[in-house]
Amino acid sequence: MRRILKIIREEYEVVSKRRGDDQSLHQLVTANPDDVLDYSEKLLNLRTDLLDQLTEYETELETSIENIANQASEHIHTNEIILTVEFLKCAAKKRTFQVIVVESSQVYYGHLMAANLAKSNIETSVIPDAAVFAMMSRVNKVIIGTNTVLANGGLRALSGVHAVALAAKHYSVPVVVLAHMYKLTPIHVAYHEQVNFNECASPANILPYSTGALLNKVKVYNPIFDYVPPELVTLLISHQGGNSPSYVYRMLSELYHPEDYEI
Amino acid sequence: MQMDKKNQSKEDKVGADGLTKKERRALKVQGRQTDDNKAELKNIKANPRPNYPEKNELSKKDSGISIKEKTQIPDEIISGIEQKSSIESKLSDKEKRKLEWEKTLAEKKNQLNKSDSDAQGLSKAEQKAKRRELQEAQRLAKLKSDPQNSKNIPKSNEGKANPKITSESRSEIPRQVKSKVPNESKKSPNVSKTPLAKKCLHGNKVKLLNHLYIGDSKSFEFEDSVCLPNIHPAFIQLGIQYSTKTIMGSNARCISLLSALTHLIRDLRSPPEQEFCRFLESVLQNSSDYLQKCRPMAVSMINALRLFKLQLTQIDTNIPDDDKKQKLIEFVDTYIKDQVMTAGKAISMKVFDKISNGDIILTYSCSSLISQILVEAFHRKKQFKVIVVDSRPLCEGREMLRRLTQVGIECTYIFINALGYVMSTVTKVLLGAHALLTNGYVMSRTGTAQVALVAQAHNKPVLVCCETYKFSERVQTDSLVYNEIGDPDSLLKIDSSDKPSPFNSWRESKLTPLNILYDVTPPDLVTAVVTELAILPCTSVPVVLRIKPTEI
Repeated sequence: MRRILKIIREEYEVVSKRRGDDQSLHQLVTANPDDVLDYSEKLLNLRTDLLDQLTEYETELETSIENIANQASEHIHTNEIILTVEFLKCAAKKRTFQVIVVESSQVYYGHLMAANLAKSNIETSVIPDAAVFAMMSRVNKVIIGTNTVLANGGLRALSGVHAVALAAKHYSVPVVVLAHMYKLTPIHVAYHEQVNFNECASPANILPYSTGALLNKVKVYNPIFDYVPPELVTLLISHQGGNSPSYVYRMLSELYHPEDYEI
Repeated sequence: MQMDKKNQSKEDKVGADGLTKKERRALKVQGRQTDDNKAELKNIKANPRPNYPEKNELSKKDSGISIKEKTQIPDEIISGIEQKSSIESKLSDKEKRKLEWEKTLAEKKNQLNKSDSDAQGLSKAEQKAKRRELQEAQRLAKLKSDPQNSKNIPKSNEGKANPKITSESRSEIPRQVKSKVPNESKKSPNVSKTPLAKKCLHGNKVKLLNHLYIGDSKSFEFEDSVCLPNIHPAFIQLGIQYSTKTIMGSNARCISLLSALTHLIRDLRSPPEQEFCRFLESVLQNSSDYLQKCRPMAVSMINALRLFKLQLTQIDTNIPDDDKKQKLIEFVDTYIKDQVMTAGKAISMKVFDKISNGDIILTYSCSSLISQILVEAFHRKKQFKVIVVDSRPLCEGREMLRRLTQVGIECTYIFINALGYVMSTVTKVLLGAHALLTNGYVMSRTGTAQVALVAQAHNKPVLVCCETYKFSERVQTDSLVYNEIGDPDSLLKIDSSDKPSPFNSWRESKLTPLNILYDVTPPDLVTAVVTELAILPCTSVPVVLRIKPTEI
């Protein structure tokens, strides 16, 4: 059973890289029986078990956000920096605090995030990416989401997060990362291996086409991700609770089978 | 010192807001009058009248309507500066002026040809009483007659409501008003319903930074500044350019200030009873107060003005005015030449030695000095690439990009969040500065500190280029104690997408866009500062400051 679970999770991890939760789950269901055949075990029981597992996992995923939100923020993907006394929306009922949201210029998730927070009556300020260092001296806690948690405890997060984490380190502000377990990956990344690790979005977001002739002469990069080394992360919070980034390897071995690391 | 500043700014705010409202109201009702004034200003510009009292005489003839306003302001300003009870006098004058306006309006509309000289002959209290009557009459008249203006009445009445009540309900205006000043100055923007005042709404300020919200830069509009008679048109123009941010960058701001100063010196003629330099000093004080209101002065400007004032006190008082003028203009010119131009050249020579072939230089935002350095180095056949880092909302880096690509330098352009992506390839980081503080902190455009931080994390050398005239005696350890707030709305504009921002209605919600203009970089993130004197560590700022005054 455990192994199957691992396979499922492994599968899930693979698919999670392709993104899109609902669709991937669907793929998961269709893809799994093939995998199971490779293990050549009793098929009849397995199928029902597997389906049970999958539904369980599905509900787990569905509730995971809630779970995390019980501890922390509702927003996992956005590039937020939050000077909170405690966790976000749930906490807002009990405590009052201020939130500073970094706008993250190339995607502007920050704008959405801020609008959402303001709707739930939290005092919110939006700052441009450049002002992170300036504001950090007044921040008590940084809460960020991430795209992936790497095997060494580092993050593959929205670009700009590295600078946020560095600034937090400079001012000794704790950095809390919110991530679901499915964001864990057994991949290791060396510090500067940007090419394989990163993706670039359309540069039109940062240098609009209206700038005309200038575009011919200039190279414009608009990377999506940033590598954040584990020493800049204070705490990882998943739906199961908080962990330090150095513990990621252990969670990995719990979640995935070592044989499945390479697919 | 800080407190003084604060108080000062508060006063300014009162003055500014009051003036604005009043003026706006007046302008709304009486567009023609401003036209007169504008025309007048144009006359002045085209044919600059050196002596201000004279100008007022002139304006009396030109536009009879604004006589009183004009004649009274110099008194007010002088008294405002010299008397201890500056608030009181200012306020009472403000009231007076307001009433004056009303009166002139009333005169115009009702064709009541009550003589002007009448009022002037009366005592102050009587004047006030009379004006109040007039005001009443005028208001009634407004309501009844004049269908054209009836549209404006609701608005203007709303705006007026607050000050009017205060002025009517009390007989002893100045003293009581004085006691109410702090309250009023805070409340009035909230109470009045003009769109401008809305910007000052308390709820939409970041609490942490309440001390930074000095007045509203937007409250200074062209129409308002037209009516400042005691300030040279060159300075008025400058103020507008500062407040609308058409002139950016501390070098550009300083140079434009100094050139306005030469205009002022050239055009100024002192009254016979006053020594030229003293008179110039007082006029300059007014002008710089005005500029301060438009936008807080840059350190470079403060330093330049300080040195100029020092020069004023040192000049020989026995030589004729024209010689003095000549000397002062020469002084300003040499200042620009030595402190800005030559220093820039010296710095670019020094940096040139530090750039090696094949370098990839990262620079942030737009600094006139940095672009000068890079262009010069390129012309001297150094081979290097430049990465221009930029950030919203100002996007000054695009200007930098334009300057560099124009001469053919190979450029890469990124936003500040992609720093981690390129930093590993960079060999040097060159940064401009707004000012260098005595404790070694570098004050510069927001984001500079972040660039330096990421550079340090990747072990890249960070060179800050700064002329010594931008060294300041101020001390600051974080970016929020003293800073400038930019236009919050500029944060909401996304130039690459057509979608409306999700928080267009932020003024009604709990959301606050915060746009600070500067930050300070701690000295441990900066490898060295390149000045025209030498390449120094940040911590030698006080040394430079100490040797400087003797040098000049």
